[in-house]
Amino acid sequence: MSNPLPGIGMDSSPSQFLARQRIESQINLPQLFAAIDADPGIVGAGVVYIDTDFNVVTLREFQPICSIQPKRIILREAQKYIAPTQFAQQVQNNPRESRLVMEAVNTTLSCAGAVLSWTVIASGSILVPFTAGASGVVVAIAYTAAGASSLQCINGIVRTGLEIAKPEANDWLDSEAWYQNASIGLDAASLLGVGASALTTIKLVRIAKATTGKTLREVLRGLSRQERAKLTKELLSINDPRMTPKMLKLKQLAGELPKRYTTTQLKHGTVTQIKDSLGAAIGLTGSALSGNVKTIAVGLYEEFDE
Amino acid sequence: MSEELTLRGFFREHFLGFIAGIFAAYFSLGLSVVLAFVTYFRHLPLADSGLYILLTGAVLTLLIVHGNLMVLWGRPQWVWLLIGVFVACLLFVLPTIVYDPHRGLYGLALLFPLLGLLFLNSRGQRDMRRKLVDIRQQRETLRRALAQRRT
Repeated sequence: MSNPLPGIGMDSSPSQFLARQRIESQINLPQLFAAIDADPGIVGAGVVYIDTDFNVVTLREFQPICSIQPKRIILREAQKYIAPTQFAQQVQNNPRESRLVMEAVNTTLSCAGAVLSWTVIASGSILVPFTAGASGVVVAIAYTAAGASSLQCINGIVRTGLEIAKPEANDWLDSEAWYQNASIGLDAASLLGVGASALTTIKLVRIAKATTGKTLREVLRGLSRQERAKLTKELLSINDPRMTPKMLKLKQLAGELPKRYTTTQLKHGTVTQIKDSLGAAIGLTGSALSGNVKTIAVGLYEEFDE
Repeated sequence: MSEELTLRGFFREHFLGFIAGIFAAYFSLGLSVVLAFVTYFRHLPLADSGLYILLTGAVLTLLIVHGNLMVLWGRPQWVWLLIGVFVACLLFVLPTIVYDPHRGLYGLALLFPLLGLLFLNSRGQRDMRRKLVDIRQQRETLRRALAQRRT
């Protein structure tokens, strides 16, 4: 673009320029574009990359092949924004009240996931007479989904309670590797159980929160209204590409999972390919305090009529 | 023989009671774990006791899940497992009063097991369990019929 918005520093500032350089050197762009164009739903979608310093770099403009309305793939890099020592200081000075609210919100989200799990399982088991016997698969999925979401919900309750009665226990939990790994495992397992979009959102918010060190409210506020509305549906967590067939199975078993994805959505296959093209330089899972992981959220944005 | 249980009927009449029972169990267990941290094991370093408290909590969680799944799959005798968990939580929490724990937490930790027992004993839940047994019988008849056709 020839108009560099003079005077307000919004043109190709040095950091923006450097960000583009860095991204182009880190990511195999042709492979990324090929992965996107391989999906008929999003052929020619624009690609926008937002890095940690909120430099917005348009890697490719939208071309009206798949639809007339613009569609964009947003790759958003989330990273711990501040130095570890500073972060530690900030955590120490942070008033615990806001953390209590955070734990409570988290608990509500996890327990909503548990309700979803039980709903799916209950409808599955009541429909069973008409769809013939409970096979081993149903049983296994039911145990995984109910077990993982219940553990998460109780974990949330315990953390909220501890935040009231013994906050240092939560700090200790966060510092333990086994606990972090268990949490991530439970996230994946409960996602496997319930294919509803709500849990995807929970996961996204968690990752964003964990990796940016921001509070939940800040994470949610950082997105515009339109983005938020789309994000709940469109942003896909990319931790477990194996999820798809199992989710499909569950949907079939349950018989009547509402298909709420009416707009285009990134297919997991496409996400996996995008992930591959993002290369080994970038880890795709988030974990609260391990510090050196970088998360990229992949989302599909589509302009829609109000 | 009660009337047939449809999906809609289940969600209209029984689901609330069912999920309330589950959540009463969640809260009983969660609050018991919290109280374990701040009472009985208060003086032990977290590194020694924390993992074991949480592991016990996780095992009990899975027991709750197992019990509820079994009830859902038409085996009402497993409700005794749930009753056992509630009673265990109650008995575990009661004596912690000597440690003078947070009043709110203690009150809730006593309230939820009692609520849970109330839910399990409610007419709605009993009715639901009876209907779920019917469903299991249908399922088994169906499976037997399918097996016969195959042979």
